[in-house]
Amino acid sequence: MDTSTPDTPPGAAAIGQREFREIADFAPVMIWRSGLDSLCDWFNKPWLEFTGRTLEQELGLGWAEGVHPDDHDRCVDLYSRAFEAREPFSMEYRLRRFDGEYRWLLDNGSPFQRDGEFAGFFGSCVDISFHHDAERRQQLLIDELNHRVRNTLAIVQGIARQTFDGVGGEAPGLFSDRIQALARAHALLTDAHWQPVDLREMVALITAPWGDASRLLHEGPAVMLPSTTAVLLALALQELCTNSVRFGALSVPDGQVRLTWRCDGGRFELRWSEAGAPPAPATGHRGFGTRLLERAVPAELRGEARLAFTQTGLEWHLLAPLPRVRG
Amino acid sequence: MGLALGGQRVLVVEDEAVLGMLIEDVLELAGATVVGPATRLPQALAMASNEPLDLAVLDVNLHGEMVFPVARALRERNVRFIFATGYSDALGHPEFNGVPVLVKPYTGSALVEALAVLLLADPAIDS
Repeated sequence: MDTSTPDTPPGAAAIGQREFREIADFAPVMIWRSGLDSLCDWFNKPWLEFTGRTLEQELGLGWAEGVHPDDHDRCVDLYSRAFEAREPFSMEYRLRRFDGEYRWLLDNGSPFQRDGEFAGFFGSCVDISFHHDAERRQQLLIDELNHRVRNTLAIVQGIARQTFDGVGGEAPGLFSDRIQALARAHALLTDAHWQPVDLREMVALITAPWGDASRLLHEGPAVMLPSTTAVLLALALQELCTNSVRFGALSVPDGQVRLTWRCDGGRFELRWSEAGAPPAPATGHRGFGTRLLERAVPAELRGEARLAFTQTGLEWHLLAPLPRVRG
Repeated sequence: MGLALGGQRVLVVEDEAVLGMLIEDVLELAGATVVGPATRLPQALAMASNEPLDLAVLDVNLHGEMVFPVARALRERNVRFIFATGYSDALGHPEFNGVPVLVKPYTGSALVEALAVLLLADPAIDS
């Protein structure tokens, strides 16, 4: 069998070496290599041009001197662990540029083999400061927006207080309580970065002002709710709480409320059940709360709900598919 | 003078349930019959295609989906509509350049007025 390599013309080895040298030094990416002892033994030209240091200065652990003090330990630690496990890694850290400015780098490292044996690591880095700054600016904007939403709700409450000044009846208090419930739901969602929130947390937050566990018991498994559903359910529960405090089980010393829910084979079932409530006031008025509980919440959850006055007090029963959480 | 929207069937598409309730109240007070409120795109599309309708109010962003397919279905049937949106700038959608846009928060009377104006404009389109 012919073992020569007819595809490779004479002198190819020398050309190949030169071309590899060119790739290493002119590709717009910073490259490093470490040996079996995990110490770096080579850096390409773009790396050295970036740091403005000599190869000798960077060798061994010299490169780590340029890593930002806040990132240094994490960076060295992650590298050591990946090296020991001989597993690829990807990390971000700040490295000092020749002009003294720290730039964010994305460093991808990977083990390499020589003659079939593990021989060390190669790594390549790119400057991702631009993306990092954009992300930071975005986070600042989101924080600012959340702050403004809270502020705006507080302002709405202030305006309402001024507007209702001298107006008797329950309306001013009810309005204020509703805005409060909305603000609390928003705060919970803000903390969760508008990702789905746990129903247990939301219930605890909304019911807290209206009674402790001896009066207002709530119990159920974790159920993740998308943000829109969570806000709506918070408003609906708020209506149940205030109604109970005004007319229902929580308006008398011995009354009790049980708020329970369960998930069963893709179904979600929630029940608000009052005991020991005084007889329901005769009212044909279908107010905000009734509409939320009978129509808006079941429509949002694509389920059904029933609101009924029993001998012991108000009952609200919600049956729906388990809320779907995107992504 | 009769009610501004007396006898009109108005499709309401709005993903915030509380706002949907508010719009419903306002329109009913103005004499309209409300179809919906639809809170999701498929539901809104079904109503826009199948229900007898005279007018529509469309929230632009429905749980992250744009309402434009609903707008196209309405246009197909010559049902006039307005957009309601929380975004402060224009829709940026050349296809719907001439459609009136109400920017949230808007008042009930602004909503009724915007719909009433549609009724006055070019009645020939219905024939």
